Amino acid sequence: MKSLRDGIGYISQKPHIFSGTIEENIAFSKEDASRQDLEKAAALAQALSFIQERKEGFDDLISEEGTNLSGGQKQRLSIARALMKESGLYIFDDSFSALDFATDARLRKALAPVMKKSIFLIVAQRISTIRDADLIVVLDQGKMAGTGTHQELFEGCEVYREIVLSQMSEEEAGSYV
Amino acid sequence: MSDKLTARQCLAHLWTYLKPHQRKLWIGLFLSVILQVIYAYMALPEAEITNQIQKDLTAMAQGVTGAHIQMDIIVRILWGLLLTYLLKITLQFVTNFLMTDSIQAAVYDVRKAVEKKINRLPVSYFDSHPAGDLLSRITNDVDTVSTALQQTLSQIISAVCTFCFSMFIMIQISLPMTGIVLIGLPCLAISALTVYKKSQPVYDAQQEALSELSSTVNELYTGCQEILAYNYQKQAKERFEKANRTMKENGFKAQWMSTFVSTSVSAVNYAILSTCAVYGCFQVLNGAMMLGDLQAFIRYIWMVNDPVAQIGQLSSAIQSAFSGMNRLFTFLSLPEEERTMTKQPVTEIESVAFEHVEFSYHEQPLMKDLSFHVRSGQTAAIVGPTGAGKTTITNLLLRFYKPQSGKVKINSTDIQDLSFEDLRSLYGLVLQDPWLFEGTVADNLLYGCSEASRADMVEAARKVGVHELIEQLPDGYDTMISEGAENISQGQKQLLTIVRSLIRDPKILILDEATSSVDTRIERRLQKAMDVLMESRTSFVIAHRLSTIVNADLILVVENGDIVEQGTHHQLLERNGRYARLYHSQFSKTDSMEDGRIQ
Repeated sequence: MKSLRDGIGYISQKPHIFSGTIEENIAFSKEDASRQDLEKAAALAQALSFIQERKEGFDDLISEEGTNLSGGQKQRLSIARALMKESGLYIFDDSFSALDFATDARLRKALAPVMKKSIFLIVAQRISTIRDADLIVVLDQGKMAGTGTHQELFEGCEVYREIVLSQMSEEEAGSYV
Repeated sequence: MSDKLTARQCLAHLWTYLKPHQRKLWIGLFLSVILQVIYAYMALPEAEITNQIQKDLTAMAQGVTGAHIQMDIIVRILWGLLLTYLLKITLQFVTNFLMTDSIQAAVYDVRKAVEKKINRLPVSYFDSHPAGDLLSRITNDVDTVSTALQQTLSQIISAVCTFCFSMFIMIQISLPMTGIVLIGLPCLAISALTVYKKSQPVYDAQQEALSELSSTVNELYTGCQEILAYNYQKQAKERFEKANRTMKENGFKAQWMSTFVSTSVSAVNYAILSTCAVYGCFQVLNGAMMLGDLQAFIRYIWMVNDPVAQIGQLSSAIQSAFSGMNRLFTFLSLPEEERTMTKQPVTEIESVAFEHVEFSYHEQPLMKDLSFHVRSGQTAAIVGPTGAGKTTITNLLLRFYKPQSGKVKINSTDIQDLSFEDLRSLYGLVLQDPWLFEGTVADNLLYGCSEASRADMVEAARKVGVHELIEQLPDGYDTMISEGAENISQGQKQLLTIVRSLIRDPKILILDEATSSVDTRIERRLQKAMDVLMESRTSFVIAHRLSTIVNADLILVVENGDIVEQGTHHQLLERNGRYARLYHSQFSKTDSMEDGRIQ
């Protein structure tokens, strides 16, 4: 079990932030991490700028349950935490929902090189988050409604099409495809 | 909370709440003084019995004829004692009743004042003070004041009364022995205070260790998923071990300390007692004192020493009562929202406009010069990155805050000239976190609109297409929604708040991120419901998702507090400025995003 979990960078739907410093929260899985490693992970997760804006930077204290952070900041910290692991498989369960779309876009751009090296399993509601995925699995009421790429699904899967159209107009979806 | 109130000011504030109930309070206080006197007096008849037996026995020993223990006198004293006990118990009941009644009535008034205050405080206060903190502090402080009045006050009264009365009698029994007690008392007070001061940090440390332990357990438990996923079990165990060990050490110290406290105070206490007893015995043997008087005297020493030994606890109870009162009354005298009277009521909306509004929450300027104009029935979309000031615009519209300069106008009326009630009744709000309270679905829908009938409610639900959904709930419109509304989904909650807004039939709508936290297919349903709601109403929509904004009549692009662009979707796309970039960043591939610095 330990070796299985060692190989996975996981972010749950509601990531838990522990009371302690920002550094402790990011270096959760790697206590001997250097400041450079931390900064690298934080930069990838688009968290570096807000961390540096805090009074004590990486040593700033986070209160229990992370009440002194916004929802998006918590998500970015937990993404940085997962990235610290440098594992071959990352599971992101709805980890981008609290980010505004600009941060979301920057994050995906930054993650692109990492994504090429490892396997990413992303659970998401926003189409923009997953449309570049190599394989999209559409679930509806616990059943698999279709698998494929964005384009394949948009043309062949009614449920997926519905979801896409609820988020963007036909023209936009089409122009993208 | 800058200036601290003085003790005198605290008491003056407290008195304003006690004053309406002062009659019962005064009678209660008067009776409790009598009660203490009776309690202290009772040692005397008891001593009488011993004295009587001593007299009779001495007479018998001296061979006085007819000498015997005069049971009739003793029985008479016993009867007297019984009656005094009964009187004391009755008085105790009456006193408690009167005091509790008046004090609880005053505390009730304090709570009512707090509630009223909360409703009248400006929104800025709540934005800068977390609600949970505020709530727990106020409930705690009201409790502290209540306990202080209920217990500490009567403790002080009984201590003072017993002390004075006992001293008075002790002087009459024996002046030299009273002298011994008076020399001993300061020693007792000093030792009690010193020990108390020494022991307090140890008890505090124990409390802290306890709360540290429980918060560690709580955190490790709620963070369980992360701990498992990151193989953090070993460290988690160590953290618990550490907290547990600290708890053990502090618990031991505190226990040991409490034994030490009681022993050291008792030592002084017994020193005084035994000195008096030895001196008293010689007096009795010399015939200078009756045995019963010595017995009574020793009872009085206890009565006098008890409150002195408690001086540490009592003074800290008084201190915490004053700091509680201080916070409470400072809160109650915070400046309230300015009340204004409507000069000219607004019945129909022609336009909503910002004219050169300048505003900032703190010293840093946020809005420098913001103007826009929305006509009746139009939809204005507010777009911009987090922290740009989107919610600030709605805060100003609702007059939660007041602009430093410039005007917010509805028609030609400055909203500062409308009363809060009139102004806010124009608005309907649908916020990111739908707010429902514990009650039935119907209660929640009719919230803030008591005059609407059930038929109105059903019609509104039909209009937004939620009627079937509500009917499917276990008890339809009478289904209970639990606190925090965990028994229905986020999307359903949001649909309900939309129905609620529709029933209120507001002139102006404010939709703040109303769809961002629900799954996208419910979102479409929500969008439809909101379209019904927005029909023929002037609306302000804040959203992260640009697709919901494309159809707005006016798009306001906000950045750093000011509007950088305004116009319709097509106008703004043609301009190829900030909005166009924002728009493309959402709908085009990430790779094509050249300007990463939108925020």
